[in-house]
Amino acid sequence: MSDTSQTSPTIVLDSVSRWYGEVLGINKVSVDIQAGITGLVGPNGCGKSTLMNLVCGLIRPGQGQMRVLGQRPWDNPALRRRVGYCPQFDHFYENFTGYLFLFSMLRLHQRGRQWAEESARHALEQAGLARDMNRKIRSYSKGMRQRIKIALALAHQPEILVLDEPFNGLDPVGRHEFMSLFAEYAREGRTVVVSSHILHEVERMTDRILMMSNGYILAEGGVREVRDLLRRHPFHVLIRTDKPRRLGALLLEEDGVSSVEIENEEALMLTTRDPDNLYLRLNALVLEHNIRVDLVTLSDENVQSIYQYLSGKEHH
Amino acid sequence: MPVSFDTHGGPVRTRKERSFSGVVVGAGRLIWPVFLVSIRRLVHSKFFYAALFLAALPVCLAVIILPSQMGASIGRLHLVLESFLRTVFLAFVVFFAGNILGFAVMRQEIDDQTLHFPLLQPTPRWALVVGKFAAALLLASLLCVLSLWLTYLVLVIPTQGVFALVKDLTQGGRFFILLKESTALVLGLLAYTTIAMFMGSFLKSIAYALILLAWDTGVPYLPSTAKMWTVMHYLQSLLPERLSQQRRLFELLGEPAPVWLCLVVLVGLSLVFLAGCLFIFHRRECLYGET
Repeated sequence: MSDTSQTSPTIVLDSVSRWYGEVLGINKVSVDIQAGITGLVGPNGCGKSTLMNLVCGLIRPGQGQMRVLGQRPWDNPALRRRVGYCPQFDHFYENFTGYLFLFSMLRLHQRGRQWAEESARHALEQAGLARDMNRKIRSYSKGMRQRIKIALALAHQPEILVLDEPFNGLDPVGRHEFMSLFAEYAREGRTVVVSSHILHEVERMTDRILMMSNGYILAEGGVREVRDLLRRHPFHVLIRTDKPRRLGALLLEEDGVSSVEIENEEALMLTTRDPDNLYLRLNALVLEHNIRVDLVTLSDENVQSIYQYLSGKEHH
Repeated sequence: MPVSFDTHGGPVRTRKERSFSGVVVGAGRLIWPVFLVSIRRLVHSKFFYAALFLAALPVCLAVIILPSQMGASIGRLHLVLESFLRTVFLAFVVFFAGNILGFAVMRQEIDDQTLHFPLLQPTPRWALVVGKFAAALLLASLLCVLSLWLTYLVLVIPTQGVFALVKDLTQGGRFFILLKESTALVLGLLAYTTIAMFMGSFLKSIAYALILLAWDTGVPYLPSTAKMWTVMHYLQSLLPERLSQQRRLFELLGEPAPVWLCLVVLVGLSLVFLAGCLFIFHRRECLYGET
């Protein structure tokens, strides 16, 4: 990690575009990523994986310039020693054991058999797969498959760790373990880029995020700044109840509720800028007026909706 | 030779390693792990079982015709083996084993969506292609050559006995003839494996092999010089015991090509297709067909 410092960016994209035929991957993305953890957030198909594949040299940029640790990533075997990638693809050499898979891949580093053996064992232990390393990958659960992908990304101690949806299929304990591990990596001065479509998951690891939508960087900066951006937009809450008109009338009197719409005889939709306060008041109103409520849900809780807000598209 | 590494884990090249022998050893170091992982992948694949089945066919055929050969002379058995070589091995087993394993070794990573694993490791792409090629060629060669020798043993031992077998191999010179025939099979596999790897680097289906088979087996029977454009012509010409010398089928097909020409064409053709495969793979992105 000789040339990785806290101030100089380790990954630089300058007006980088990538199209798949007529389908947009990313468009004119310019961004500098520095050492530490950077969260890449966005809905499916927003360009996160394209950006990560570009950084790891799996695909070429159509336009623009990019540098990873000062080098061009495409067709650069030497750079691969310094970059670890946990891709989203869930395909493996199914007939290999976990150990053999890692060992075989690490042998491609040309650092000798002993190094490959030790690194594979260490990475498998780090990923919590020590007990199952001699089992065939095809018998692994989804969580174990995820762990082995992360183990492969970590095994050669890269300076840049690129993780595409690394927590998919992991249990809460596993998520916590890996979050700590990635944080430790970042503290050592390495660069960790983590993608997720779950904002709060990324928020637990870092304050630096890149929000992507439709191939563009939509917002860049601290989580608080992005949250503020979100607060400017109302949330839509769907409530399924036996008395939608009565409950709607009561809720309209509450602070923060800007509109109520009766969906049908069993449901209403309201808009609020403060869903947390709404939930508190709703509990009180339901008990006080003996109203049955079957379901309360943020209809736009998923990030897709957030991005629709942020990109200026009308919700529902 | 001990290897030292730079701060990023890359091997540091000494002056000795920059010499020709050093470059060869260095290339071997790059190719060997790819070769090992490709062998491991191939032997667990359905393509290997298909090639195994193909290689078992001549042995099974030999077992089937064995009762009709009881009491036949050793010379007669040589002729039977010769016709096996031309019609079963070269025109069928070698063709399909080479094409199936060569095609599979390129397509497997793409179809299984595992191509990113080797591409993410610090191995140059040329070494990935050459390592895969070596794995496919070795497996196909082992299967076909073993099949040839087993077919010979199956034909000779039950009909002539072990003593006659030993005598045929040593005094009769059959051992060297079998070695030459094995070499011809390997050269055939070399050509077909590289053609298949080239096709597999951009085609999704192995259907091209049927066209190639029709060309390779059909064209030599045409009374023209078109046969010069088939792999089969040079393979048939390479066989040590030419049927043309016995005024058989090959007479119809014209004179066999000289050995030096066969070697030049087969090796040259293989190099051209391997280079084509390298060129395509070098530019290949890891997309798996999705956007």
